[in-house]
Amino acid sequence: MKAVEAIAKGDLLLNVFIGMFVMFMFLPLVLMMLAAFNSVSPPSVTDWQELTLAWFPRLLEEDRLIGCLQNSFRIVMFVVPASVLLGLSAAILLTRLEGRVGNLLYAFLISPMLMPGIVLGIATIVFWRNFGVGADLYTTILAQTTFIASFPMLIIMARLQRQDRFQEEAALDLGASPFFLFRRVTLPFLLPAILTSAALVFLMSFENYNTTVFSIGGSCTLTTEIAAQARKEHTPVINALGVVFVTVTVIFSVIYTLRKQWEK
Amino acid sequence: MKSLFEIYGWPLTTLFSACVALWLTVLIVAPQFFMAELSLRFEDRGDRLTKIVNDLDVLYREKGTKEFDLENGPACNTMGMVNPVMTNESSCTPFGEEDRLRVEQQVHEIEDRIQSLLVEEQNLKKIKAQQFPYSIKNYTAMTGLHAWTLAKTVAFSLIVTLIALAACYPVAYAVALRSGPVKTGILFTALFIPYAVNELMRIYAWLTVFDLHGLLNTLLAIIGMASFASDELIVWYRFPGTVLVVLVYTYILFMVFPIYNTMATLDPNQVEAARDLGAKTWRIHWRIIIPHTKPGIAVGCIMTFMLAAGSFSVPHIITRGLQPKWFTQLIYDKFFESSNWNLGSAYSFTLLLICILFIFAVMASFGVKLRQLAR
Repeated sequence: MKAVEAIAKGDLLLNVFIGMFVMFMFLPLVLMMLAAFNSVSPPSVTDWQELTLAWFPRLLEEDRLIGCLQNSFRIVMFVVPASVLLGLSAAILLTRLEGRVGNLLYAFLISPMLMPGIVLGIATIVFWRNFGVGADLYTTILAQTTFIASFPMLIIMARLQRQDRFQEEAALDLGASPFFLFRRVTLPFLLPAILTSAALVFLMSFENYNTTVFSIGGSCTLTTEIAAQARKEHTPVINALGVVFVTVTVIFSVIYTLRKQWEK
Repeated sequence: MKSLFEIYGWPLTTLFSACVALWLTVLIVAPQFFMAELSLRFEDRGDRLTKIVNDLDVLYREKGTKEFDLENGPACNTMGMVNPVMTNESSCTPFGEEDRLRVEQQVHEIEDRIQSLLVEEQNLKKIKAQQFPYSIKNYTAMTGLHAWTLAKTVAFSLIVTLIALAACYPVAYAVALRSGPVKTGILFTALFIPYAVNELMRIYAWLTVFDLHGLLNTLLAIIGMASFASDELIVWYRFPGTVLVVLVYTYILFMVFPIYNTMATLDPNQVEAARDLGAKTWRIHWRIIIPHTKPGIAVGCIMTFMLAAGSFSVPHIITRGLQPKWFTQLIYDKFFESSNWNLGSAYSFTLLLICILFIFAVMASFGVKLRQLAR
């Protein structure tokens, strides 16, 4: 009986702790969002003047911010297909490669995700300067792809390891061409993993800052522009943008969780 | 390799191999190699050669001025600026014969000096070209202040990692092993939302807490320890603790998810059985849960340390120039302000080496292999 009581007490402590943890994670976000609805500029939650929605339409007037947002999308457009293709190729190769060569290749290919992002950005601009390519959107695309491609690789590899290899062999025995096999058996099997990794790559490229700021030169993305504005005197327009970000994230997270529950 | 050809055929196999080769060489290995190579080339900005180049610059300019004088007369050498002593037009008269000879003599002297410096420059360049181009001077040149910054950055990152580990283990335990399916779902979503919100936004959100008119000062004002009326406010951005708090906040979730993912694969019956056999709670953790979760803990520590040590965003936004620079900010300055790429590469490579050392230290102390790190 005493043991049961101890466990209950432990669970209570654990619940209090996790409640505090979640509050810690949400408190700054909530405060930032509140400041977007306050008419005071620079943004503040404690100096409350008037409830207003005026900062939201102002977002559309920020030409520089919108230009930087377009750059973010330009980068994403290239990073997503490139990372998924590289990740898929590496996953297929690594699943079939065993032994020392496989382990070494694996170590090299996941190394970029264990390196500080700024080092990747620097290495990219140093390398391409030798060929006369200055830091711009191109170098950012290359630097981001270098480490983001490791994530599709891991996701697709995990799926490949659950594949029934007899299926492929059976198809080949029945006279399917290798290309037909890949298109009709392997690719459909990998599709969920490919879509998940594409979504992840999109998110990672879009929100990347540390690699981007070191490799982009004079151009900007949404994140570098937010950082630049946060450093100086600014209006709550950034907070309004934050509200948009958090809202979109909450909607997608809830849909994602509900779908996972539904599948069960 | 044979099975790869058999199953996917040669066109696809070639495509996959080419992609991987491109990624490995052009994106991963070559850039790191070139950065390391650049870091080993020392650019001495105080050496004789640099001085000669500067001196030559000065001499050429001096010679140009004198020759201009010889053509146009002494008073016109200010090129449009008015000489205060001789203001009228007639001042632009040519030199007298004596002055002209003197100035011509000076020009000759300058030409001689230029000539001798050019010879010396040629010789030095030849010697430099023959010399071994590499040295570790960029690494040893790190001044005391920069070394101290590096040490501080590493120490802060270690503290961040430890705090994150201490806080995340119980959280992961609660979500993975001590909740029903519904509670797990809710908690997972509650943790996933801040994880998925843009990193920059999460850092930016802290300004509402630390600002001069932010939450902290307002709370202090309420209990009478600060005052808005008499401007007795605390400038929180001056304290290094702010960077620590925001680093923990920004990167702590990179500790939660790896630990949670491995812990969730533990069979709860194992814990149940141990408890039935009379094991105490700490013993269950020590003997069953922690050994099972080791790979997750290792990944969490590696990611958190690497992200904290390599973070440019957090110190850039939070310190606002009111604190000594963070190591990543020093690197940024070397590249984009004093534009000494060689030294910047050396600093960047140092950071990379520290992270690699940390990875090996963690893998060795947890007894985890690289293949286990994924998932």
